[in-house]
Amino acid sequence: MLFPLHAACVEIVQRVVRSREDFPPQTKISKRKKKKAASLPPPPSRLRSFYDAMRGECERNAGEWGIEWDHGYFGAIKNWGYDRWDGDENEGHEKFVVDPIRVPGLTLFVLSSLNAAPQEEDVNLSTLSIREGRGLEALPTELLQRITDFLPTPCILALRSCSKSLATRIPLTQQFFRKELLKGSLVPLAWDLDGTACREKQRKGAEGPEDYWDWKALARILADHGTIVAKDISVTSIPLGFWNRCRIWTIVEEALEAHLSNV
Amino acid sequence: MATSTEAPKTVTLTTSDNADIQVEREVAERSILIKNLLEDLGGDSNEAIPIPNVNEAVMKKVLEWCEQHRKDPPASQDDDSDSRKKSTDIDEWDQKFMQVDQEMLFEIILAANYLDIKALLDVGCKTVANMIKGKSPDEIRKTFNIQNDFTPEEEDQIRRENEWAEDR
Repeated sequence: MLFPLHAACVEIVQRVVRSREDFPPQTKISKRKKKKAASLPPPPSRLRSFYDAMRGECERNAGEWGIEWDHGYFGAIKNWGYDRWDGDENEGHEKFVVDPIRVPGLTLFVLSSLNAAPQEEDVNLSTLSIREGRGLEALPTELLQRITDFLPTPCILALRSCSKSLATRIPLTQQFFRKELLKGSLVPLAWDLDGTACREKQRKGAEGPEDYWDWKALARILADHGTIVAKDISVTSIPLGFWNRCRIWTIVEEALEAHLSNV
Repeated sequence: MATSTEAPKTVTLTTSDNADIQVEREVAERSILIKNLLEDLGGDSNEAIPIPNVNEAVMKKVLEWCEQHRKDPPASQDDDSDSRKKSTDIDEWDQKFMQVDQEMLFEIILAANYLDIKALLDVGCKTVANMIKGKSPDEIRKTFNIQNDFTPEEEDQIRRENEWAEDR
């Protein structure tokens, strides 16, 4: 039995898998699954593993419309012999078939959710006992920053968890969250934000007492894709393509969780 | 009449430990700092260029890299608009070149930064980034001999700060 997937869904699967590879083995996610993850096949065959997991679900949950999960994923519907999305009876279902890869208006929507930060937060560590470091710790902050430019966000977080010196020199400021958001590894499903538009917004400044935009809160909103999927899109301005992307991303994560728990 | 066998121009660099190193000007000019100094001194100066922040061993290593990359196109300036995730791919020769002990690795990075050799700086930073990637804090500490100096409360604070981003 074949389980057909849209090319767009496959692209999202690959992005979810890649984003998970960024996690060092001691983070919250992999702590739970470290042993199981270690027994997974190497990255090139993970797409196949995912496919097998989906096909397994397909055999278990197949209904008239394909796999009937909570998020309404129906597989590549055209390959199931149905083409009834245009009919009146399916009014409101268009959101399931909107292109999740190319999402016009995404950056505009995201920036409209950006609010002024109450104040800039700093790491509040006792700096009195920070010792002189050697090697990596002794590098000037600008060089440390240059190294972190090459690291995905979870690895930067692991690095700053190593010592006081590193934690204070890699502070989780609004600038950090903005940079990591635009880099695409803090919230991997927002991979296509328009950096120029975001920087322009930053230049204009927020209307708060500290003149900071709350990029941290924005990242939290975007990272919570389950909540975005649960929103009633008729009363929000979420671009339908982005809603559909969040829906597919959530399904893929659930499938990977299911796969991991079955390994 | 000029001939094609004309000897290449050389310059002398004096390192922090007072060693004089003679090198072809084209090779030395991979360093923007040296290039600018030579331009300031005028075309045919034989004056030795002092490099007070780099010792002989590190300078020789840096010049080995410059020799290998002498014909590379000039590095583009940092583009702030390029904020996307950067690749940590390193070409094979550079990977072998960077197989040095950590002390030398960080000295090369510092020297590349001081001498303004962006491509070498990137190779060094990518090498360190690749040593960090996929490791837990404990593994990073072991790799770089970092002492965990957090109090339990501070460790808890850092964990809370990091938590939501790890569980996205």
